[in-house]
Amino acid sequence: MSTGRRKSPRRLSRAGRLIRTVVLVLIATGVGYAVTLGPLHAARAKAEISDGIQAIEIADGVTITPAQHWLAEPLVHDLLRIPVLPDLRSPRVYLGGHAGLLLRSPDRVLAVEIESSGPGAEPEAEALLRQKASAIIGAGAELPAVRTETLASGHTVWHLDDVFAVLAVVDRGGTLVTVTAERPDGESIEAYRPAIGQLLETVH
Amino acid sequence: MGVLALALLAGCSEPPAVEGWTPPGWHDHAGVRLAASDTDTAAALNDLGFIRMRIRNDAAGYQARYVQIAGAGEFNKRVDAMIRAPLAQLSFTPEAFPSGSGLADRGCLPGSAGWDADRVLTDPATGPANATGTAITCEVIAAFGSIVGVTMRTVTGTAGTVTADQKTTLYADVAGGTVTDAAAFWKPDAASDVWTRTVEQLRRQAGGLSSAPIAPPSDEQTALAAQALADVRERDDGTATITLPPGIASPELAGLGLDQTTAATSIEADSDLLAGWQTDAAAALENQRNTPFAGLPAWNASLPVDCSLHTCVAVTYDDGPGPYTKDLLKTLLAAQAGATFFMQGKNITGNTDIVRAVAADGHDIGSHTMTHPDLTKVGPDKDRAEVVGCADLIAGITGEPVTFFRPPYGAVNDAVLAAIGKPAILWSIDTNDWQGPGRAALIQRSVPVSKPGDIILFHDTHRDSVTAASDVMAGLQDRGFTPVTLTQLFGGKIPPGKVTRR
Repeated sequence: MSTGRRKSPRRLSRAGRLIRTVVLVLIATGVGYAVTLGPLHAARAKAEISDGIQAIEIADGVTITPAQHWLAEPLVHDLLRIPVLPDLRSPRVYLGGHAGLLLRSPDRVLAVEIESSGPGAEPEAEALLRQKASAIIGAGAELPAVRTETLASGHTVWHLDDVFAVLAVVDRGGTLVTVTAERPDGESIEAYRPAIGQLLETVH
Repeated sequence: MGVLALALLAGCSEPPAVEGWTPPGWHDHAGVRLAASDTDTAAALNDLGFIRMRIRNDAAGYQARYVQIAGAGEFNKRVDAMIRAPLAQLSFTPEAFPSGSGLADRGCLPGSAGWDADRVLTDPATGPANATGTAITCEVIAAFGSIVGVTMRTVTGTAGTVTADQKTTLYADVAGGTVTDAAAFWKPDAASDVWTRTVEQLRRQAGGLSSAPIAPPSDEQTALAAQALADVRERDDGTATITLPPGIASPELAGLGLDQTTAATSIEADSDLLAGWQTDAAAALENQRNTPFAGLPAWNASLPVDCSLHTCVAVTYDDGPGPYTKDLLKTLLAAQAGATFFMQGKNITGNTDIVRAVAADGHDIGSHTMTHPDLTKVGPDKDRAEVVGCADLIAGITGEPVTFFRPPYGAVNDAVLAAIGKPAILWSIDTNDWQGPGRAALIQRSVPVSKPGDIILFHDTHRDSVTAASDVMAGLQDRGFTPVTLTQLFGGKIPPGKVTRR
C-alpha cells in the first residue's frame, strides 16, 4: 500500500507536469499571439468597408470619410521590434479603443495610417512631419521640402513626399492629424496622389 | 488551439480587392494637361511666300523681323504700325553693316514667338545691338483656306531685364482682305480660366494635394494668359497648345515652393474646352481650318518699301532687254529684290514679252534712248526723239508712263535736261561690268562698297552681270540692304535734274 501510495503521486506529478507544461505553452502561445499577431487579427476582425458617406472616427472625435470601398480598421502600434522574432504590438485594440486608423484602398494597394497626434500648430506640425519622415526615410537622409497648403476643407496641411510615400500633417483646428500613405509593394505612389488628396479633404 | 486557429483564420482573411477599381484622377485635370511647348507645327509655315523683311539699326537699339503679304493692304498696314510704334521715340537713320552680318535671313523666325523674352533680346537673329532696346520678331502659326495667322512679338529691355513683351496675332483673310486680331477670338473670361487651369496643373506638378479652388488671378497675372491666347496654335483636330510666359505666381503655388515660374509654361487644351473659350468669330474661322491653304499672292517689286526705315539701295540694269533678262527676273523674284531696268528702244523690238514681264514683276523701267547716242552731242530735238521715243514704246507695251531716263554714257547737261524735262538717273557706283571683269569682281565692286541710298550700275546684256545678280542681291541683303526700285528709293518722288543717289 505504502509503496503504491508513494508511486501514485509520482505518476500524477508527471502527468501534472505535462498538463502544466501544456497549459504553460498554451498560455505562452496565447500571450505571444495576443501581443504579436493577435492585435492585427483583432483589428482586421473589426475592419469595415466605407460607404463613402459615413464618417469613421480616428480618435478623440477626429473623423475621416474615405471614399466608397475603402477598408478601415483600427491602427495597431508596434511596441517593440526584436530582430528575428515577431514585433510586439499594443493590445489596446482588444479593449475597443484605438489611436488611429489603417485605411486600405479598394484595390488593397495603398495603405494609409491616420493618427490623431494631439494639439499643436505650425511649429509642432512641421516637427512632427520631419520626425515621421526621418523614421521612414532614415534618420541621416536629407528630407524633401515641406509643402504647405490650405485644403478645401479650410484646414492647413503640411506634407512631404518621395516616390514611395506621402506624409502629411493636417491641422484640424488645433488638433494635429498625421497621415502616412505608402505602397507596401514598393511601387511609385504617384497614381494614388489624388486619392490621398481626397482623404486629406475629409479629415474633420 | 481551436480558438487560436479560428482567430488566425479570421485575422488573416481580408475583404477582397474591388475588381476593376482604379485610383481616381484629379478633378481639375479635365480637358487640359501640361505639355511641352509646341512650335514645330509653325516651322514649315514660315516659307509660304511671304514678303520677308528685316530692319536692324544699332544706333537706335532696334531690330525687327516681319513679313508682309502681297496685296493684303490691311494686314501690311497693321504690321507696319507695330514695327513703327517703338520708333516714335527713336532717332532713326537706316544703317548698313559689314559683309557677313547675316541679315539676308529675313522674315519670321520659327519658334521665336515662344522663346523666352530674354532670348528674343539677346539672340543676334532677333535682338538689338548689345541686347538693349527693342526686338520685334514674328512667327507664322496658321495657314488654312484663305487664312494665315501671324504672331507679332515686341520685346523691350536689356539682357536679363525685360521691360515689355507684347504679342499680337493677326489672322489675315487673303481672299477677303480682312484682318482679325486673335484677341477677338476669345471670350472675356477665357484668359482668367486659362490662367486658373494652368495654375491647377502647376499645383499638381509641384506636388500639391489640396482640392481648394485657385484664387482668382490679379490683372497682371490675367495679362500673362491673355498674352498666351494671342499665340495659340490650334491643330486640325481642334486641340491646341497654349504657352504662358514666365512669371506665373499664386498663393497656392507659393506654399509648394514655387514662388514664380521662371520659364514658359504650356498647357494642351482639348477641343471642347477650347471651343468654350472661343467667340463666334473664332468659330467662323475654324470652319476653314481643315481646308488646304490656298497660297499667297506672289511677291512683287512694286510693293511699298519705306526707305526712311529700310536701308535701301537701287540696283539698275542698262541696255536690255536682252537674252539674259528673263533669267535676271527669276533671280530677282527669288531674292525678293526690286530693280530698275533702263531699256533701249532698239532692243525692245522683238522682246516685248520681256518688257511686259519686267513690268508685271513690279520693277521700274526707264528710257535709255532708242539708239544709245551721246545726248550732249545730238541736239534737243534728237534728244527728245531718242528719250521720249523709247519711253513711248515702253509705255505702249506696259500701259504705264515712263517718268525718268538714263542718258547713255552718263552724258547729260543742262541742255539735255531742259530738252527732256524728266529726271536723268545716273549712278553712284559703276561696276564697269562692260569691261568683263568676272563675277567675283562684280560682286566686290558692288556689295562691300555700297552705302544707303546708292544707285548701282550694271548691264543686263552682260552674262556675268546677270549670273552674279544672285550673289550681289544676297550680299547686299546680308549687309542689311533692301534692293528697291528707283521709285521706292525716292518714296515715289524722284527729284528733277541729275540724280546720282538718294
